[in-house]
This record gives sequence, C-alpha cells and structure tokens, in this order.
Amino acid sequence: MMTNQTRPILALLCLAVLTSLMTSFASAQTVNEIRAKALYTELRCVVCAGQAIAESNAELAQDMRAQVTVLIAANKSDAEIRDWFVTRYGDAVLMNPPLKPLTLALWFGPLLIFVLGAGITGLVMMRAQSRLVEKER
Amino acid sequence: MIAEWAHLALILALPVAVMQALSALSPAGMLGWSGGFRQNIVRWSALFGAILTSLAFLGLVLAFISGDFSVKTTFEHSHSAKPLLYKISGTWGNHEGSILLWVLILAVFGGLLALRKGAASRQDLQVRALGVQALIVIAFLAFTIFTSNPFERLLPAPIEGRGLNPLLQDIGLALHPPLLYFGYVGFSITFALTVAALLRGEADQAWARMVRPWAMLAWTGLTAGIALGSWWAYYELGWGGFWAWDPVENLSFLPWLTGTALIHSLMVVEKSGALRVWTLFLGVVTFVLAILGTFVVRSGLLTSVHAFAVDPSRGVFILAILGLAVIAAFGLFVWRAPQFKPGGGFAPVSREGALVLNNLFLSTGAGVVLLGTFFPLITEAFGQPLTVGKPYFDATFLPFMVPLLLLMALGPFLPWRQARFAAGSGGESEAGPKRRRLRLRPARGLLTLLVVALGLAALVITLLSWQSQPRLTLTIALAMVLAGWLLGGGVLTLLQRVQASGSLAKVTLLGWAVSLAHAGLGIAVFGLIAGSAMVQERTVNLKPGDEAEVGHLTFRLEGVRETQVDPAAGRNYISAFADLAVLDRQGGVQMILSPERRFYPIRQDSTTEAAIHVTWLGDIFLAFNTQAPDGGFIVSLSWRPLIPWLYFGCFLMVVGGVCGVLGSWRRLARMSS
Amino acid sequence: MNTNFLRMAIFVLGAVAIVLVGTLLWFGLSSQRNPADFPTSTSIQPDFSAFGQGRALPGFEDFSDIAAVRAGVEGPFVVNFFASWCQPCRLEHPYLLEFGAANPGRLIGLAYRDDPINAATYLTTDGNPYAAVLADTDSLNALNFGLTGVPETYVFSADGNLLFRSPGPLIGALKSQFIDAWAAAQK
Repeated sequence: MMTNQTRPILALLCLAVLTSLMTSFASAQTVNEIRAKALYTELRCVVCAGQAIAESNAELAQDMRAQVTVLIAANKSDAEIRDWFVTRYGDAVLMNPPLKPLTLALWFGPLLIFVLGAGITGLVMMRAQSRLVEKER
Repeated sequence: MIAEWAHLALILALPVAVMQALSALSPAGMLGWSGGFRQNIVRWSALFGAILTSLAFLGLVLAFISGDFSVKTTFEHSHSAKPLLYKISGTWGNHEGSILLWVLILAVFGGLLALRKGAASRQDLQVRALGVQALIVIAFLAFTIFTSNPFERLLPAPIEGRGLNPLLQDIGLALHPPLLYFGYVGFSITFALTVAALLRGEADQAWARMVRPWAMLAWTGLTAGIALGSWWAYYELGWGGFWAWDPVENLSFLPWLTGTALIHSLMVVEKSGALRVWTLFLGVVTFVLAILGTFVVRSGLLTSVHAFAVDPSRGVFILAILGLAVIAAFGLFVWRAPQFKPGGGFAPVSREGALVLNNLFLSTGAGVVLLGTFFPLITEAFGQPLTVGKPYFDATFLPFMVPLLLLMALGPFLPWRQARFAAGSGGESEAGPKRRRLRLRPARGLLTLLVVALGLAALVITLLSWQSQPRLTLTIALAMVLAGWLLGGGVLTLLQRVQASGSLAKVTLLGWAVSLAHAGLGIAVFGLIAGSAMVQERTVNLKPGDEAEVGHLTFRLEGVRETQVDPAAGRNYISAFADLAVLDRQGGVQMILSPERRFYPIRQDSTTEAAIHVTWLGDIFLAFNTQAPDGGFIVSLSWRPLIPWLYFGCFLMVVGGVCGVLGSWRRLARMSS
Repeated sequence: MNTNFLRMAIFVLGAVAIVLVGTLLWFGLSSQRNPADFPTSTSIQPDFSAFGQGRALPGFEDFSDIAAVRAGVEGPFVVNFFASWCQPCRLEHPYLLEFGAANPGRLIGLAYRDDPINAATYLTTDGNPYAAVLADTDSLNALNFGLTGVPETYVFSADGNLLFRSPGPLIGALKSQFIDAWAAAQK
C-alpha cells in the first residue's frame, strides 16, 4: 500500500540522482584548473560593475585571470594568490570580504539576526503553547 | 497630438487620486457623507484614476509605435528601424516609461480593488485601503510628473530616434520589467490593506482572507519576474550564470523572501488569528522593500551590472517617498500593535509551528541579504570600500535555507494546532472518519523517503569520491538529496490531497498551489545545484578546423560567417556567427550550433547571443567571445547539466501561484457571499 | 505602563534607525560617487619589481631595462598608462605633451594591451610626450600598479612613494588635482 505511494517519488529521485551521476562523471579536471576557476569567482573585475573576473570579458579581467594561472603555475597557494591581488588593489578586490574588525558586523550579523529571530520565535511558540493549554483546560 | 492627450490624462489622474485619498481617509462625519456614498465616491475615483493612467500609458505606447520623436523619451529610446515588438517594449525600457508603467500597475490594482463593491462588513476596510492606495498613487504620480515626465517635448522634432540599448532588445527583457513591477506593485495592495487594518485596529480572519489573493498575485508576478530575469542573464550575458547576487537582483529577491513569508503567515491568521501582529509587520515591510528596490535601481546607489540612467534628484524624491512610507507605516504599526489580542494557541510541532519556522528562516534570509547588499555602502561611508559578492551570500544565506527546505516537505502534513499524527484536522476538506488512516500514511512515506534518500546520498558520495574534491562532492550529493526530499514532499502533498478528497479532480486549487509550488521549488533546486556546481566549461582559442573537448562533448569550429544590417528583416545589427559542430564518438557531425556576436552600429555597442541546445539532461551552452589577436576565435564551450529543470521548476511555482490566487479568491468570494 | 514604556523605547530606537539609514542613503546619493568605479587608493604602493619589463616600441629607444628607465628619472616622476585604442587617452594627450615638454625626463609611458606597432604609430602621429616608453605586453606592470583602466596616471615622489593617482584622463578636476600633486612632489 505504502509502496504505491512512494514508488513514483522513488523513481523520480533515482532519475535525478542518476542524471547527476552521468553529468558529473563526464570528465575530471585537473586540480589546477579547479583551483583557478574557484579563484576566478573570488576576485573582482576592477573595471566591471561588481562582477567577478570569472564573469567578464574585459581586458583587465583577462589579465587578472592570466595572472592567476601564472601564480598557480609558480606554486603559490590560494591565500598567497589572493594576497598578491590585495596588496595591489586593496581589500575591495576580494568578492568575499576578509574578516577584520570592520567586517565583524558583516560576518557575524547573519548569526545575530538568526539568534534574535530564534529568540522571538521561541517566545511566540511558548505563548501559543500556553494559550492552547489554557483553552483546553 | 496623442502625446498631449496622454499627458493631460496623466496630470488629471493626480487630482483624482487626491480626491480619492481625502474622501477615503477624512474622519467619519467630517464630510457629512453616508458610508455607502463615501464608498461609491472612493471606488469611482479609483476606477477613474485607473482609466486615466491607462490612457496616459497607451498614449506613450502609441508615440513609440508611431515614432513620434517630438517626445523626448521616444527620441532617446526608440528608432524607426526597430522591430514593432521592441518599439512597444521600448516604452518601459527606459526610466520615464518604466516609472509610468509602475504608476499604471499601481492605479490598475487600485481599480481592481475598487471593482467589487465590498460586502457591508468589509466596506470600511475597502474604503480605507483605497485611501492608502491613493496616497501611494499620489506620491508616484507626482514623482512621474515632476521629475520623470515621459511626455517632455523636443522642438523642433528630430527626424530619427537614438535607438535602444541593444541589451534591452530582447524578449526576456521585454517581459521581465512588467512582471517584476507587477510583483513589486502588487504588494502595494497588501500594504494598503495592512495599513487600513492598522488604522481600524482590527485584523481578523476575514482580513487575512481578503489579503491572501493579493499577496499570492504579487508573489506570482514577482516569482515570474525574477525567474525571467535570471533566464535572461543566463542566455544573454554569455557566462551561463543565472544568479550573481548582484545588488539589483538582491533587491528584487528581498520582497520575494518577505512576501513568501507573508503568504505563509496569512494562513495562520486566517486559521486561528495567531501571528497577526507579525503578519501586519510583514505586510508593511514587503512593500517598503519593494520601494527600496525601486529607489536603488532608479538612483544608481549601488554597483550593479544593471546600469540605468541615473539622476540624483530623482533618487532624492523616491528617498522622500520611502522615508514617508516608513515613518508613517511603522509609526502606526508600533502605536497600534499592542492593541491586537493574540489569537488561538498552537503546539510547537503543528502546522502553525512549521509556518512560524518558515517565517523565521525566510526573514533571517532577507535580513542577511539586506545586510550584505548595503554593507559596502556603510564601509564606503567610513572611507573603507569593500566588495560583498557571491561567495559571501552563498556562505551566509544558503545555510538558513537548508532547514527551511527540510521543513517545507514536512509542513503540509502537520495538523493544525496540535502535532499528534493521529489527531487533529488536517487538509482543506477532509472527511472525518478517514483522518486517522490518512494521517499515518504520509508520515511513513516520508520516513521511507528519508531513508532511501540518505542511502542514495551514500551511493553518490562513494561513486564520486574518486574526484579530486571530496568536500564539493559531498555538498552536491547532500544538496541533491535535499532537492529530492523537497520534490518528494510536494508530490506526496498532492497524493495526500488526492486521498483526502477522493480523486485528482476534487483536489482544491489551494491544494494544487501548495503541491506545485513546493514540488516546483524542489525541481528548481536540482537545476540550481547542477547548474552552479557541476558545470563543465572551457574557454578556448580555435581556428577553423580545430577541435576541443568539454566533458563528454567534442566540438569542432567549422567556420565564422557574418551578416549585415538589414532593416527590412528587423535587423539593426551586424552579426558574426561561429559555427561549431558537435561531434559524436565516431567523429560525425551531430549538429551545428552557432553562437553569435552582435554589433549595433547606431550605439557602437555589442552583445553576445549564446547558442544553447536544450536537452532533458542539460544544456550545451556555447558563447562566441571575441576574435583573438592571432586570428583565432575565442569561444567558451560548456555543458550545463539540469539547467532546464531550474526554469521548469520556476514555471511550476508560478502555476502554483496562479492556483493559489484563484483558490484564495474563490474562497474569499464564497465566504463573503 | 509597561506597554507604554516599551512603545516609547521602540519609537526612539526606530527613529534613530530611520535617521541613520536615511543619512546613509542620503550619503549614497549626494556625494559625487559613481558606485561602478573601483575604489583606488594612494595608500596602496605599486610594485616596481617588473618595472621596465616590456617590449620596446618599434622606432623608439629600448627601455626594457630597469636601470635605463630609472636612470632617466631623478627626483619625482610620473607614470602614465595609455593605449592607442583608448579614446579618453586622446583627451589628455595634449596636456601630456605640454607636461612632458615642461618636465623633461619625468614622464614614463606604458602602453597597456597595445600592439607595439600601433602604439608607435600613435606616438609618431600625435606626438610623444614620454621620456621613456614601453609596451606593457603581458600586463604585469598594469596589475603591479593596481591599474583600473586606461588612462591612469601615477605621481611618485623622488624616493618612489605614490603621492597621487588619477583614475581617468587628466582633464577637468583630475587635471587640477594632478597639477597640485605634482607641485607638492617637487618640494
């Protein structure tokens, strides 16, 4: 009985997982290619409006991408490559702002918002529960 | 001549709106009118205002079609060589016209609210809501007429227009702004009804029932608008990206998040009267965020790829509207909120409890997006410029969505008020004696689903772990399981409704709405994950005859051809096509795809038109970037798995939204008749 | 009373928040800012490690040697990135010619992403303001200098400290700022 219900969903799920398998099996990229691609999304194209260099055809974005591959080939770590650009362009070149006193609010704000919201939610739930109990009494 | 009449209609709409606001919001007895008379005056002015604004907009559309270049807007944004469709869409492809469209939708929604004469019990609510709506209309009409008049004249009239931004000459972008505005402005009605409820000090179940169809309508428009914008970015910008966390995107996403929360909390208010203060808050916030979005887009406050004409004086005007709306609405809210008595109680594990958590995660998400979007402006004010981009939002926003999606599949199965699986009343229209059995099945189904999903996750992880990125693989696998879980939840919700009502044909529209929207999101999440984390992509420099491999695909550049400007065929650009053959395993040509680069001589500007071959499993996505100095052609070749499912999922969500609008509208009509 | 106190507190907090946010948005509007511009700062010092690396322009003296470039430069100096394909560069070119003539040996040009032949043609036909000029073919100097577009001009003190940078053509306000910075560098 129950299998009647779940069978179509199982089928759908299997299909989805299989497609994901097929599509991701296709090729293995080299570690360096993967690293470069990840770094492209972390560096801002300095002549574009807030886009990463991964998403721009601008000359400077091409230069920056080329420089990333040069630095990877020179055995620099991801952190060293980010630093290379930060010393030349400043923090604003990073799509992901660094954790500093100035950005504490940015990085811990989400948690704070959530904790605050969760507190209020807890309060709402408790009150609703007590209203329910009162009514049923 | 048409432009003059249209201009006159636009100007006349202002006193009409003033009259509407005054007669609706003046204290009872001051005008000496009876309730019914006041209602009629307000309703007729709303309808008349809607007609006048429509005439004004129609006039502008006609000026664009006929190429009346004595109108400055037309001169600057149209061209006689443009195809008719883009002449029409050009009407809102510029600042003045798009603001007029904003006002048009605003006035037409007000007219729709006024169309039905509210039942006696809701008469006062309708009148006050129309009064608030009139205030918004006044603000934006004044903004249009005084800072962005679309009917400004040029003398002598130029012979030819300056053309349209080539990026805007596109079907996706022709439809994207109207839908987005439809959503933004739709929330003006929920806002007006909310403020009216605050004014009256009353927000009962009937109020929630009245707000619901409007909230759903706005949500549906916004969902469609955002999806269309994302689709446009996907095929037009040439990078295959569909969501970049660009400030302008974020600002359309914010009211979507709070609007989604609003739709869900309204259900609680309608059921038991609980959460009404919070729901009123959401009603205010959502429209304030919509104005904020309009403000940022129109003032060019934040860095964005969506470049618009920028004029600080306009920014100041919208900022003033925003400030007034915030001060008045929140002041009223804080003043009145304590007067609302708490509604019915509920257990933490119940439908209400799940909806409260839904609101928690959605609001947190909205808070995070708001913080990240405006943080660069804050640090810039302190002289420390920063960039907050995609990696930040991915890292901070997505974690809050995981529990939301987990809960989403479960929520619709939880009974109202209390969570004991065997008790309580569940779906929209369940027969009494069947309850116990029905309740058990989905619970067991979900458990099975979870076990199977986790098993498949384990399988995926083992199979993929040979790849060099175990962490990424794990994330993808878990995310896929989450999407499957969500899809399963949506389908099960529908099955449960089928069982409860006896047949598929008897499932209520609201039952369809929840199933389709939830399942649609599940399907969209599949596409989202695959399309962002599993893409195979290479940018290569090819000469004719060269081959390149990407993933399981092999491509060969056959050649590059060009076409010239041809006004007769509606082509005001020069095209270069790179003909790329997709080869099968034996080296035979399977098909030829031709990504295009367009050059617009009038604007000295070029665009990329990616060639996309859509299959069930994913898209072959090719873009022609540029010609290399060595004479080769730089093309980016990619395989983007499951992407069509992202848009199919969004489509299902929109269909679900339409079902929700109709269902909640029908219920409103039934309850009030 | 408790409710009233809470209400007042929320009112005050809300008012403060509205004023703060309003000021911020006002700031965003009123200042002469273009949010699309990448923020440049003189506190970031260019990296000279690749300075002078590049290709010589045909028909021009070969400066692809650090010593040669630096030898021509004593005291404060100016580095200007340009390109023959760059339209705004042509706007500042007359002023650069004037500046180069008035300050011999002080202006160094780097052609950004330019074919050396095109750059040479440009300088032959429009005039060469530079004491030393190279094509920055691999863009290494551009990245080392934190370039955000062409033209961009850097004013250095005698000991190589960055004093001023102009992220656009030397016309209008940027030109007068440049003149002041150059005067200050002479002291």
